[in-house]
Amino acid sequence: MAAITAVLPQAIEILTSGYTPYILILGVLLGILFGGLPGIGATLGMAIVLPLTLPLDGPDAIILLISIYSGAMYGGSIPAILVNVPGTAGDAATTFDGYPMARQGKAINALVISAVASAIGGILAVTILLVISPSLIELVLLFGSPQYFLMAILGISMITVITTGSTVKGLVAGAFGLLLATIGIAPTVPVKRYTFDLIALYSGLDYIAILIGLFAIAEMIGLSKEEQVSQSETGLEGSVLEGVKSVFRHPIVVLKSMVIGLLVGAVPGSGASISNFISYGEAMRSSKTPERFGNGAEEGVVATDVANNATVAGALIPTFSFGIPGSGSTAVLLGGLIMHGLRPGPDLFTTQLHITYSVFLGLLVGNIVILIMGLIVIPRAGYLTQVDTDLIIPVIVVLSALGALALRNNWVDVWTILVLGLVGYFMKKHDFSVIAFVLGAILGPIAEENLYRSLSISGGSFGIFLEDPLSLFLVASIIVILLGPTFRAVIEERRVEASGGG
Amino acid sequence: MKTYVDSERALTLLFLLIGGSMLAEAYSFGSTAGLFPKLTASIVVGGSILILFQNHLPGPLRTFVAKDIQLIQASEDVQKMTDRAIASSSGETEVADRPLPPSVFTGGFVAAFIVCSYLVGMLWTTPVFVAIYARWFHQPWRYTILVVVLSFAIAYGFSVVLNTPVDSGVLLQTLGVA
Repeated sequence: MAAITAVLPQAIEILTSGYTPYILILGVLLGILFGGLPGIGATLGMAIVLPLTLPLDGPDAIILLISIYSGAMYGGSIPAILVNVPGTAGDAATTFDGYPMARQGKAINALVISAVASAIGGILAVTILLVISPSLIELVLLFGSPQYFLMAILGISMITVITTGSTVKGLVAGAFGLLLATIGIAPTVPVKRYTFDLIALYSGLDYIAILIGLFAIAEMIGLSKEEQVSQSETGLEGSVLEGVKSVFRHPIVVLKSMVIGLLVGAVPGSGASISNFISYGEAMRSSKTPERFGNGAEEGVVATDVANNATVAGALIPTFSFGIPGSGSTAVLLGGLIMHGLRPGPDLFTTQLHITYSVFLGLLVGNIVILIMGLIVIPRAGYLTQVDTDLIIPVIVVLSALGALALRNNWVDVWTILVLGLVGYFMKKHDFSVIAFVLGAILGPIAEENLYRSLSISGGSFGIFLEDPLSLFLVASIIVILLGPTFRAVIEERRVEASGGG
Repeated sequence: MKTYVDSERALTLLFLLIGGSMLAEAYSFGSTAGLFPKLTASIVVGGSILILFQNHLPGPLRTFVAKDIQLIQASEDVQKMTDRAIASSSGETEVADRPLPPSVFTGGFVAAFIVCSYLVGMLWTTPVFVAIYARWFHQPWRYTILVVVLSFAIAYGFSVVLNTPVDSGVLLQTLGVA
């Protein structure tokens, strides 16, 4: 605790010095824009901006990325409410009641609820994160090389059973990402691997180029085939004051949704795309009038928007502690951490604790900025939904190609975004987990280093992964996570067959 | 449906091919450098084979390979609302007077843009790419010109601010834009 109070002044100084406050505000604005433009969203926005953070300091870059992430969680509710199309996956459930509210002449109420709920959810979640962080530090310091290797495998395993697609498809995707990460000179011994004697490949494939290919190019190919979002059929009517009051009329919904968002966000691979549905379901289940849900119930919008912003804070836990992202957006954030020399794990909670806290505080302040910016943006919110995606797509493609080339001035990175953009499009189409693939690509070098170090310690014996209780727990978790759902499904199938035959 | 199955098989075969060749190559790296590629390539190869032959697998193994089983699921009511929302949204659309589906055109045209950029420089191909793309999708001229100017400005900005070599390519050397 003493260490935390010692670093807080440093963290506050980072947040308030230089251009950092402007970067934070810019990030929130960009996030609202990316979230509000249909088809763009937090992940793609962060992936495009990531190469542009090269000239920035590490803390500034991470604060920019996290501000975009949290701003997009609110921004995505704008098209969800106005045109029934969520701007991000985390706002899908917002359409259930947000759009009906807009059709009832309460679009402003819904947008205000979204802004206030997002801010409150984010602020409460970050506050809890700051309170529990001393315990996190204790936990992180228990981990050594064997445990970090197992956490990488556990993270990929969790993602394969949380995202859509079969477990084996997820494992193939994750392993393929790990495999592509081996291209280049090995991190353990100076051996060239899969370089075809091309100097351009000695450094391997840049994971940022992989991110851009999978999250930007693949997404744009998929977006091009979707029907254009229709012009808003609803005007901007309603009351700002009523919207604010609506949030405070449901304190229990706010608290429960915040906890759900925080907990789900902390589970690798789950993210806001899951938390918003779970919190919506819980709000509906515990309501005295569940029949109102789906027809403009304000608690529905409160629940989803509190949860999706709380998820941002929750997702930082596995990302900063173990380098396991909670979603596609945190996968990009992880890429940003590594790019700026901030390695997830003990360092971020010991020697670089002040940087970690500056990011947490940045997120806290960012949620206040979301509230202010959100209320300012509301009268102009309709413009975002009217931008034609056929105009956005070529600009995003150009930005992606330029960003890839700017990484290392190496055309290998541009070819990477093209090839993986095409592969990523088909991976999404056929339910091969793109997040597992990205995680494999980012964690590959870290996983390999920790594997090498572990085997060096044990003299080549894999028994080191079974020696202590923590490692055993992680191995057991991997097995249960991979096989448990299948086991349950098989038992369920047999039960249905038996009752059907009876 | 046939196309769906064919492209899925093609993707799985691609994984199998790449994984298999990388697995074979990994044996030439030595025991230390080769360990991790061998482990990961084996999973890619084994998993791809299981996926390709999933229809011939016994019951429980087939469930593991083929079934979409999720650890965290929304409640049944929420799932029904989600299914209704998905059903009401449309699938792939066509563009009037154009011979190619949008996704095929976009994928192919992005590839052509990158190849041409490699040859002559991204600064010069960017406005052409954006203009043709926007007009293919019948965007009004004023918006087309707007995004062309915006895209060119972005490319120029990359060249001037980040010194990204966008003004020359393999066939065209301009010795700098300034």
